[in-house]
Amino acid sequence: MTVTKEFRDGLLAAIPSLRAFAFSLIGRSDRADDLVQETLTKAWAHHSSFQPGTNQRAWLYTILRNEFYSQMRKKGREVEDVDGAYSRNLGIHPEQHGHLDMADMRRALSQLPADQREALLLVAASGFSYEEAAAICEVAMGTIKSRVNRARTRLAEILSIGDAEFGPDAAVEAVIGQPADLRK
Amino acid sequence: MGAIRPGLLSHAPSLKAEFNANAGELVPRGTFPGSRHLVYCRSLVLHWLLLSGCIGIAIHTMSKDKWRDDKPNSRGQSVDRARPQGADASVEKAIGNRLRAFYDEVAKEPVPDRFVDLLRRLDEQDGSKG
Repeated sequence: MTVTKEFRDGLLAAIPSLRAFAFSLIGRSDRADDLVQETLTKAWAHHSSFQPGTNQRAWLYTILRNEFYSQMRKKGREVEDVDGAYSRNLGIHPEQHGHLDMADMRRALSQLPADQREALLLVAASGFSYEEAAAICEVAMGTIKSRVNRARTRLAEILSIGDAEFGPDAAVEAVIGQPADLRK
Repeated sequence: MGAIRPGLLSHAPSLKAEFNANAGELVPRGTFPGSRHLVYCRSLVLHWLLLSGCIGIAIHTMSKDKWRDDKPNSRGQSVDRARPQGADASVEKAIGNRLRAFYDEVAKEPVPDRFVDLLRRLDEQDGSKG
C-alpha cells in the first residue's frame, strides 16, 4: 500500500509546527530538525497504521514525542534527565533564533520539568485540546490539566508576568545571563 | 503522652522482679496468695489509670486539633478563592501570547530543503518498490 497524496500533504503541512514543538522541547534547533526528520521517516514507514479521517497532526506529535523520549533513553540517560539535557543545550546556538523575548522564553521553559513543559506546549502553543494532549502524552486528562496549571504558574513567576515588572531589568538580565537565584 | 510511656515500661520490670524474688524463695505455690493478689491488683489499677489517662489526653488533643484545623482552612480557602480570577485569566492570556509568539518564530520559517528532499526521496523509494 503506497502513501496517499493526502497523507503526504498532511506531512508537509505539519512540518512547521513539528519543528516548533521539537525546538521547544529540546531547546536546540539542529537536534530539533533531526528529530523532525526521524518523525517524518517513521510516519512514512508506518503510514498504514494511521486511520484516515483522524487527527494526523496529533498522530505525528505522538510519534515525535515517543521518538524524543526513546532517543533520550538510548543515549543512556534516564527520562528524568531530559531537563538536564535541555539546560545543557541552551546557549549552544543562542543567536540562532533572534531576539531577547526568545531567549527569555527558552530560558524560562528550561526551568520547567519536562512533563510540565510538554503539556504546556501542546495545550497553550500547539493548540491541542486537553483531551488530545492527554492522548499524545498517554496520561489522564486531569493529569494534563494539573501539569498545564503548574507550568503556567511557574512560568508566570519566572517571567514576572502578573507583577507588571517588565522593565530594563528584564532586558539587562537577558543580556547578562540568568540571575543567580534562578540558576539552581 | 510521650512522658507516660517510659513510666509504663519501667513499671513492668519491677513487677517481674517481685515475682522472681518470690519464686527464688522456693515457697510452695499458694502459700502467700495475699502478696501475689496485691501485686496483681496494684498493677491492674495502675494500668487502668494510665490507659484512661491516655484516652482522655487523646480525645482532648483530637478535638482541639479539629477545632484548630477548621479555622485556618476555611480562612485559607477563602483567600485562595478570593484571589482575583480576572488576574489569573489575564496572566494565562499573557503566557499564551508569549508562548505562541515563541512557537511561531520557528513555525513561520520556510520548510528547510532537507525535509522537502526527504519526502521526495521517500516518494521515489515507494515508486521503485511498487
